Amino acid sequence: MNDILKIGGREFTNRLFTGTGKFRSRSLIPEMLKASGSEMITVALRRVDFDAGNENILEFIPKHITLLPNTSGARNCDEAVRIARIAREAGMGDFIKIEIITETKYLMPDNDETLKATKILAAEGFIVLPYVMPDLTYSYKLVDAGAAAVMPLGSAIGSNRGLKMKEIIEMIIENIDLPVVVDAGIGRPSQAAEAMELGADAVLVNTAISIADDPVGMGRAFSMAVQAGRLAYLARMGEESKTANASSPLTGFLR
Amino acid sequence: MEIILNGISYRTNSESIFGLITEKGLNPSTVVVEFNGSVLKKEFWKDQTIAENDRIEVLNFVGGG
Repeated sequence: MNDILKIGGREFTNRLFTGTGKFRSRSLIPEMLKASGSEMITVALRRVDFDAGNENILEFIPKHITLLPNTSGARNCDEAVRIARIAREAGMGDFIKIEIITETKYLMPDNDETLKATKILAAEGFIVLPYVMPDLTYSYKLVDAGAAAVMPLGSAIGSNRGLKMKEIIEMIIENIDLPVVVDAGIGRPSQAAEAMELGADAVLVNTAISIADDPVGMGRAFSMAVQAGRLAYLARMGEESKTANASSPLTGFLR
Repeated sequence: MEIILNGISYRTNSESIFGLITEKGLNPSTVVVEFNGSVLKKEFWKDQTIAENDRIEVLNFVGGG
């Protein structure tokens, strides 16, 4: 089936985007990418810890994978823009996930600052994927600001609580003319499938894969769930009803 | 001389960015340098001299979601 997702001029056949955070061994990352078939993965930019020596996550990511640097650690628009520019100068390409957070308990993104950063970076030619609190009005504004996709959270980062924001995400999917990538909070393959059944264009899953006992197996499980959910969406599911609708004929009973 | 390295005051004898990276025992191919607020591409590291109070950030890409 020719079902391709286009973001920023790139084509993706696999709709599971992954992250590099929290793997107990970084050598699991290339294996997870192979098992899942994920074609886009996030990385973060940090100061080198001179005592620990420098880490280079990039050596664990095969060249054909699209890198999605994030602006994690940014508390406002200016900091996010600075991180994005550094990432691009460092040869990371034009994709950037804007992540601006000031609230520390639930790590909720700041939609105002994210919108500002989206506008600036899109004007500079970045492929901007903003991580946002699900909100239809903001999503319209992000479209106008030049975002390449909208990435509403399902629930708090790393919480594994699934699609707590389901109804709003559904509104965004139905009304926004950009790819919608459900990011954050997806804890189980069934929740990823649920997002895809709703019509999400992709999901971004990091924690649920990286903290699993077997991250490689979990990457594969998520990939299959995403594929199943996508196929179900395309095949159009039947309506729900409160009462039963018999599957077998209600005539010709032997009695 | 004293510079501000990753936000902290640091005394160095290195005269160039390249020298500083070597002094810190880092692999040049895996770090990114911001020099007084602008990214400094690797090709300029040997020529970029360091002066008192320069603000230098040495960054790398790490795991993140």
